Amino acid sequence: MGARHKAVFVKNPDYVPREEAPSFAAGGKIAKVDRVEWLYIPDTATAAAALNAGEADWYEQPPADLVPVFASNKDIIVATVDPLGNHGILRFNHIQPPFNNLKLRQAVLNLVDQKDYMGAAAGDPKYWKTCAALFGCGTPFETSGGADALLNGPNPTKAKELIQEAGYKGEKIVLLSATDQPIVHGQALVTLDALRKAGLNVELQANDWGTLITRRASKEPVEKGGWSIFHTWTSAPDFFSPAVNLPLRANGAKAWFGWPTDPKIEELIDAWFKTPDLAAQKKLAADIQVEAYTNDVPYVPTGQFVVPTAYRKNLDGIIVAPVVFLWNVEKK
Amino acid sequence: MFAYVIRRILATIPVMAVVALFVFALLHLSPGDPATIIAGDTATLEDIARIRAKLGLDQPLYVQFVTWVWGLLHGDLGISIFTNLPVSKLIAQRVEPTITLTISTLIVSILLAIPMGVVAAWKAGSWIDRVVMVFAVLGFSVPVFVLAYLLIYVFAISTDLLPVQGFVSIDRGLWPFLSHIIMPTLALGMIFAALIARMTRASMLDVLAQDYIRTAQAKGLANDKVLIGHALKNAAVPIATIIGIGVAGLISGVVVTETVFAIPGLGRLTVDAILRRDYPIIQGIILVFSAAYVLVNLLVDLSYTVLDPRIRY
Repeated sequence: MGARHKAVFVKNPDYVPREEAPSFAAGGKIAKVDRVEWLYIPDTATAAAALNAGEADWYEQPPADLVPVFASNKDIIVATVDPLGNHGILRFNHIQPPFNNLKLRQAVLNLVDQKDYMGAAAGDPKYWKTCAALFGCGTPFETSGGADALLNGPNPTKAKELIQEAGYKGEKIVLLSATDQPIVHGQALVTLDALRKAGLNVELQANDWGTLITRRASKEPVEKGGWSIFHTWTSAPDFFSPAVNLPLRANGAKAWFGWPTDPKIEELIDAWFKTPDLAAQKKLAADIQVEAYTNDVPYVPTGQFVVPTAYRKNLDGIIVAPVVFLWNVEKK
Repeated sequence: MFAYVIRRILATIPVMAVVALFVFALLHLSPGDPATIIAGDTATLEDIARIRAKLGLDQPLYVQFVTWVWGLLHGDLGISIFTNLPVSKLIAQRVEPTITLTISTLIVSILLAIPMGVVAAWKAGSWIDRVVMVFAVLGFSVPVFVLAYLLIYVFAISTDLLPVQGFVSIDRGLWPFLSHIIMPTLALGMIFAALIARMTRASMLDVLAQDYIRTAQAKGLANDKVLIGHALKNAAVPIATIIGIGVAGLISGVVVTETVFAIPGLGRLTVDAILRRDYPIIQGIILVFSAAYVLVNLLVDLSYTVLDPRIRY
């Protein structure tokens, strides 16, 4: 990052690309422009205005609420170039009350209506779909095993039964959110509403992302600055198999924030690594998901979405991939 | 007067010391940890602990404070946690847009507001006075970012007259430079101009009611000479005071304006540093802003002796 909030990429005339078509980060990387200036425009409305006015050619990830402003501009294309997408995540704190109780985690699972979450986080339905598969929908390890509550939900009646069975007595639930992250905050507001409607004593504590990720590291009870639930989102390369799905890990204190413990999930993940056969891996992935939804609920996926990208019509050759690549892009 | 200036400059030392202590305490006691931000969303507690240790953030607060103050006493503002560059270098890289924006705003606001305030006082109760007061109320009421978006819509998107965002140094041409600062200057200058216009009007109304003004008019002196030569000169001390005080508002306004117009100045550097909890940068910039504020007010105090020769230090 340069001093003036601009990263500049200049074509290397001595580079010889491979003579083949690009494929994600592999293949021929042909620089078709001499110079790319990657502008840092912190305000999203200003960034959208810059694209509309032709000062910028490409807006990598416009927020969902700004996408409609490009509709009237015939020189701008709004497209999705990510073939896999992202998952929204509702994460519990497994080591502090009240979500150290499986029944209460299952109750929340029964309150989740992915359509509400995706509407709040991703906007237009053409950019999202409901997806209960922990390894994502449209991936090799997609499975519906154990996901009945999400697939057939929400079920507030069942949730209330589970809340009663959990012996919940109105303990405070602290829901962390980050207002500078629209996808995170949108999900948090939906959770706040759903939990309140179910009679849970939930308090939204909204700060910025820097505060959220600091506070979620706390293992203290909520009375001492701890937390109960936070939201985030993760891209398919980080959840599409048991090898990379970090929030699924259930190895207690060594697990990701929330620290779930479920030795069976860990055993199944180990077995998955040792299984060379894809069919057997798929079976193990399904077993992991069943175990996760039935006996642990480490987290709840709130849906699968893509973040559209917007660019001016004079750009061509943008590579379809989960991340932005600047090669092969041509400016006419 | 020289002794007075020296005394005032020396008086800034305890002020800066208090600011330094306050800023350090506020930053380190508020939630947020740069190590967690550097570690990223998928980090583990071990990753974060390792980064904290590497950055020295696991040291007791008083050790971190003493280390920082010791550096300050040697002219070292510290090293940015994220960029690993000296804070003084980062500030030097970003100071040009902020100084440019501040000076242009001061010039435009003063040139616009003082004549407005003088005319409003001269024509008190007339439609001109009311127009000026409506302008002043609007200037106070409309937030900087709302005005900024309106300007972008009108001058950049609808008419394509000015660029939406960014900053161009004057060495790349006068028009590219001016075209990039016109909208930020207007957005930031509105509230400042409103403040000065109101104070000018109020101060001028007081002076215009004085006997010597009536005498000057009775002797047949031209209106412009009465207004500028006699009234404005005597009304200038409170106006200069409000300009000095308003600089604090300008500093906070710069943060918003630079964010909306994507100007890579000190304001934007501050916001980015706060979001990433880059403590050395935040501490360094607040110290620089505090010093600038103290200096501006010293200059304002010294200007009193020029504006009113009766004042002596």
